Amino acid sequence: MCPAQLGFKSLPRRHIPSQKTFIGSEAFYFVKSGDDIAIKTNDLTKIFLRRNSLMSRLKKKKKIEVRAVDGIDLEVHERELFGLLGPNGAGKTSLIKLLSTLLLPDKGTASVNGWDIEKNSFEVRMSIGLTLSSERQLYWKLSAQENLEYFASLYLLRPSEIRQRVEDTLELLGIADQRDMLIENFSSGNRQKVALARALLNDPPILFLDEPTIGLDPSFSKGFRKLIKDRINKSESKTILLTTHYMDEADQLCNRIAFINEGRIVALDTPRNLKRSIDEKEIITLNLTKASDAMVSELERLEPIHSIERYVQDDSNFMKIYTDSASSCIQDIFGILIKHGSHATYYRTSKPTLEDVFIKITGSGLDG
Amino acid sequence: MVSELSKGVRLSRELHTIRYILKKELKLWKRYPSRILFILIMPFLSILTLYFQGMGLVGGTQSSEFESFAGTQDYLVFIILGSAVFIFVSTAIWGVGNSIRREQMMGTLESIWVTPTSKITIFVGVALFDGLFSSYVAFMQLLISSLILPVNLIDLRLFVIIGIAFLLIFALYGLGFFFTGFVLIYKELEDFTNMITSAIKMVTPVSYPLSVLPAPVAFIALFIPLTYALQAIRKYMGVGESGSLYQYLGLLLVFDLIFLVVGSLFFRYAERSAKRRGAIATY
Amino acid sequence: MQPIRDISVREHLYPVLSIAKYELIVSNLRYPLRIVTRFVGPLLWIFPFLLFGKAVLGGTDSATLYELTGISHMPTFILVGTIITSISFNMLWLMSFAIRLESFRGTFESIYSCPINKFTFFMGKLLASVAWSSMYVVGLLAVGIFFLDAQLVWSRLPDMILDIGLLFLAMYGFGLTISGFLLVYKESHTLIHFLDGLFSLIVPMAYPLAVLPLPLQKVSLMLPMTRSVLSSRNVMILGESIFEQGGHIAVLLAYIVVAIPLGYMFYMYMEKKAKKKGVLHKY
Repeated sequence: MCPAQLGFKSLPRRHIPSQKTFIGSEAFYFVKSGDDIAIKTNDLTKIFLRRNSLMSRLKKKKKIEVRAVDGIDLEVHERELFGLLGPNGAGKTSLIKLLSTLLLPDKGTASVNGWDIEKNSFEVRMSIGLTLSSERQLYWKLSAQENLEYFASLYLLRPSEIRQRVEDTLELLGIADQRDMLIENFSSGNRQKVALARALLNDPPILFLDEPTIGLDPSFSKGFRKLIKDRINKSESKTILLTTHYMDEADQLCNRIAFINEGRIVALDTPRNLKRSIDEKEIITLNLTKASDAMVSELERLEPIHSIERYVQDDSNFMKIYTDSASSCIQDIFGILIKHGSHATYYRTSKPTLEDVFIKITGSGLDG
Repeated sequence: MVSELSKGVRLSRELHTIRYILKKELKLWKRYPSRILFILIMPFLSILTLYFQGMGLVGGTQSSEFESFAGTQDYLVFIILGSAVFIFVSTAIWGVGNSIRREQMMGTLESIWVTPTSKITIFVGVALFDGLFSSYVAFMQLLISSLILPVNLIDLRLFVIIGIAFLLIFALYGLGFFFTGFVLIYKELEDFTNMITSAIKMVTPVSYPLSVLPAPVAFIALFIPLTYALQAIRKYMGVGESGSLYQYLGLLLVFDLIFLVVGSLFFRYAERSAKRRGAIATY
Repeated sequence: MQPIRDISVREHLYPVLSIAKYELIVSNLRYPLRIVTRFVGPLLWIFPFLLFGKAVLGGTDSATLYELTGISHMPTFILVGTIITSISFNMLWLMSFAIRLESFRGTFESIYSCPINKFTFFMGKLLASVAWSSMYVVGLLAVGIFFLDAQLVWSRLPDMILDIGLLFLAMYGFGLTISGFLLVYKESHTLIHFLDGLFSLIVPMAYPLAVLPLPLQKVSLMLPMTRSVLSSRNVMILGESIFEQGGHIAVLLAYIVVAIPLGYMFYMYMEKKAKKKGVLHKY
C-alpha cells in the first residue's frame, strides 16, 4: 500500500535527508507540506511552429505559430478526478504531454506532485503514470505480461517485486486471465486496460489518461469509466487528470472539469456548477432548413427566450434557444420560422448538459 | 440502389483509378524529397563499393581474369549495367509489398480494401508507377556513373536498355504479388525484404558473371527472370554473354508469365488466409 | 505532494538486463523471420564481395592488395573486415537506428515517460548487441576456417578480442551521438538507411583504405569502425600486437573517453530540443 493512503505528506527532496522513514520494505521521504495540490501550472504555454508544405518552405514563408497550450493556470488537488474537456486539437494532449515531461514548455511553469516538470523531470516521471490515446503504446508482439514486466523494469521497480506488481495490476484491472496473450490479439478495450495497467505499475500518486475511452464501444466504456472512478480513483486514491471530448464521460467521472479551447481554459468548475451557470431551465434545439439574421432577432424578442446560439454541425444549421419554459414559447417560435420560410427538421427540448455549457461559452460544438 | 456497371464503363473507371494511384504515389514521394535523393544515391553507393574493391584487387577497371568468366575485361561497365537493372527489382520488392505495408502503417489499408476497385487495378497502378520510377532511377544511375566513373554509357542505346529492363515488369508484378501476400501473412517485413533483396542480388549475375558461382547456386539463378534481363542487356551492349539476344528475351517473357501466375495465386491464398484470421489490419 | 521512492543502484541497473533480455530473446522469438535475417545477414554481406573478388582476380591472391596492405589473401582480408563491420553495424542498429524506428510504433513516448535514465536504456541495447556480436564473430570465423581457407594468426585472437572490446565502448559513444541526431530529424527513416549505406561504403571492409578518394579516407579514419577494421587486420592477419596499433587504439580510446560523456550530453541536448519542438513522437 502506498503510504499516501495512510495520510502521510512529504516534502521536496531538497529538504531531506533529515527525515527518512521506512514503511514496509520501501524507503520514503516524509516531511510536512501545507497544501494538497497534486498538479499546478502557472501561465503554462507551448507554441509549435508549423510550416505548411515544401513550396512554402522554398518561398521562405513565415512559419505559422500554433499556440497549443496558451497560458494555462490550473490547480488539481490530491485524489481529485479532474477532466480536461475540449474538441480535438484544443490542446488537451499537449498539456498532458507537458505535464508528463514529453514536451518542454516555452513559457510558464508547472509542478506535478510538487516537482517542477523541467528541473525535476526524474521525480515527476517517478510520480506519474501515463496512458496515451495511441493504439501503439504497447509492444504488439509481446504478451500483456511481457509488456508489463518490461515497463516495470523501466519504471525502476525493484526486481524482486516486479512479478508481484505485474500480477497485482493485472488482477486489479481484471485481465489476469489474458496475461499470456499477445497485445495484437487483444480487443481495443482490453488493450487500453493493459495500457492502464502499465500506468499503474509504479503505483504512482498521479495518473494522466489521454482520451481513455476513445474508440471503445459504449458498454465497455461504461465499465471502464466505473473502473477508473471506483477502483483507481476512490479505492487506490489516485489523482487522475484525464482528457476527453465526450461530455458524458466528463460529467459522470470528474470532480471538476476544465473546458479547454484553442489552448486556453475557458471555464473551470464542478459539472454541477457548470450546468448551473446556465440560468435558463430549458433548451430547445432545432435543426433548421435555413436561418437568417432577421429571423434570429425576431426570435430574440420573444419574452421567455434568454439567448440564442447558432452553430453549424455536419453542414446543418443548428440553433439552441435558451429559455425559462419551452412550452410557453414553442408555438411562437414555429410561427416565426414559418414566417421566414424556414422549418425545423429536428426539434428537441432538454435540460442543459455540459455540451450546452460548452457551446454557450465557446460558440462551437465539441466535434468541431 | 446498386447500379450495374457495364464491363466497358467499369474498365474505364478502373483506368481512371490507375491515374489517381499514379498521382497519389507521386505526391507521396514528393512529400519526402530527401527520400528521392536517397533512392538515387543508394544504388550508386553499391556500384562504388565494387569499384573500390576492384581497384583494391587489380588496380584498374580492366581485368583479364574477369574476361575468362564474363567474356569482357571491363568489369566496371558490367556491374554498372547490372546495378541499373537491379533497380527495377528492388523498387518492385520495396514498392508494391512495401506500399501495402505503408498503407497498413497509415491505417488506410482496410479502407482501400473495402472499396469496389479491383485489387488488380491497385497493383497495376502501383506497379506502373514503380516501373516508371525505376526507369528514371536507372537512367540517372547510368548518367551519374558516366559522369563520375571512368566509363561512358550515355548514348541512344540507353533507351533499349531501359526498354528491356521494363520487360521485367510482369515478373516483378508476380514478385510484388508474392511479397504483398507475404506482408499479409507475416507483417514484419523490413528485415526479410532486405534479406531477399540481397539474396536475389547474390545468386543472379548482377555484380559478377554466373560462372563464378558454385554450380547449385548458379542453377537457382536460371529460374529468376532477372538473370535473362541482365544477359539480354549485356549481350546487346556487347559486354560478354555468349547466347543469342532473342533467346534471352524469350526466356525472360516465359519466366515473366510464370512469376505472374505463381505470385498472384500466392497472393490470393494469402489474402483469404488474412481475411479468415482477421489479420489485415494487425501488423 | 506524495512521496518518491528511494532508488538503489541495483534498481537503476536492473533495467539493463531487462532491456537486453527483451531485445535478445522476446522480440526475436516473436519475429521468427527476424532471427533468420539476423543469422543469414552477415553471410549475405560477405559472399557478394568474395564472389566479385573471385571474378576479378580469378583466384584468391592479389598483388595489388599486397602492395597496398601487405596482405595478399583476399578472402581473409574480407573476412576480418566483415567481422568488425557486422559487429559495428549490429550495434549501430540496436542502439541508434532501431530505437528511432521504434518511435513509429508509439512505444517511444511510453518509454520516455518512464523514469529510467537514457544512459541505462542504451546500456541495455549495448548488452544485447554484445551477445549478438559474439555469435557473429564465432559464426564468421567458422565460415572462414571451413570455407575460405582463412589465413589467420590465431595466437593474436586475444588481441583481437581486446580490440573488439574497445570497439564496443567506442561505438557506445558514437551510437549515442548518432541517436541524438536522429532524434530531431523528421525523416529519420531515410537518414538511417543513408547512414547505413554511407558507412558501408567508407568503412574499408572489402578493400584497402587507400583506394578511397582522399577526403573519404579522412572521414573514414574518424570512424571507430574503420580504426577497428584496420587494427584487427594488422593483428589477426599480419600478427602484430594490439599495442603496436597506437594510432588506431588512440582513436578508439578517444571515443570512449570523449564521445561517451559528450555523446550523452549531446543526446540529452537533442532530446531537449525535440521536446521543445514537439517532434519526439514524429517518425
